[in-house]
Amino acid sequence: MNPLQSAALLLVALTGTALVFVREPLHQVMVSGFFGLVLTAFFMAFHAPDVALSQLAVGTVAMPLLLLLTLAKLKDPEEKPLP
Amino acid sequence: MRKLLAGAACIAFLFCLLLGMRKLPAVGEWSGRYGIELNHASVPERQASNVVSAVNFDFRALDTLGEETMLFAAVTALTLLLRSQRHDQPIQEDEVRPNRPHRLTTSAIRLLALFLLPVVVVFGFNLALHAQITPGGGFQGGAVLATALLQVYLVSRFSVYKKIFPEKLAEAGDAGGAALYALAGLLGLLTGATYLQNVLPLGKSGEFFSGGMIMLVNLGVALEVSCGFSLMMKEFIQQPFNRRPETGPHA
Repeated sequence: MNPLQSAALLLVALTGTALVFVREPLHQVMVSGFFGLVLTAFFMAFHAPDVALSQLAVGTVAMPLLLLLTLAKLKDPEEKPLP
Repeated sequence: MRKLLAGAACIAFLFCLLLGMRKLPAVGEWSGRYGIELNHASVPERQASNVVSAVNFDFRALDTLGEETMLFAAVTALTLLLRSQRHDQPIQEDEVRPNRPHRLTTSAIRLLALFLLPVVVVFGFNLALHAQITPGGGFQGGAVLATALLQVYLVSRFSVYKKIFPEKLAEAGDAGGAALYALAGLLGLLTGATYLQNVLPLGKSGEFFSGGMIMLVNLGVALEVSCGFSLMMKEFIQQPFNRRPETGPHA
């Protein structure tokens, strides 16, 4: 295992743990998008460019977007927006 | 008490995990035959230098047909569920965002998007069209292409996005792509081979027209994914702009 792969594994572990500890839905979406980006680097480091590209498109863009839009729909209009 | 239980469960889980990890092969040392066989068969037998595409669109093309139909069904169900209904009233944009009326994105982001938009489109087409040669393919390329339209929404307003969104074209592309994949399989039956068998001329590995059928079915996937993803995003984006009197959160 080369240093790049070790670093990618470590980042995945760190970001995955961070994702579990975030409680605010809006923040969760952002962190999950970042987690998707880290996973992309992880797949790339392990010589799987095809999977990395799919992960980039779906995990970093599409899924956080759909979650974000769902939150926008569910948001209470009276509620104060997040700073 | 709860924390104690959780701790015990964690330790038990860790023990099982370590037990399972003892027999794992080293990184990159997978000894399965299938992958090795495919690596050696893909170029001589199919002239496709991207083995992943050769697996997805040729050796296991039937599996991909299933996956692709799944995506088609998901997008269809989504558009059906989130459709505008008779008593829905459109909401003006300023109403949805009362806190920041008429606010546009900053000019820095708009300028960045202006540069990025053509790059994203070219990158998407590049990925979608070269499945048989390099990493990527219809799915990845299609998803990237779908985000190009999304950028328009991100840097402008919903009204602009709605005006330029080719809904009929996207619907036709979604269905047409799915149909293209399924119908391309019939070529095999017409020539006396089996369904989805690679019957087109294979060409030479590394050239644009290589891999035979891989290119054709990949085109179907690219069309379906780009249009399907765009439709899906549009349905979601449109949601806060429809007021549903009896059930909506605004009612």
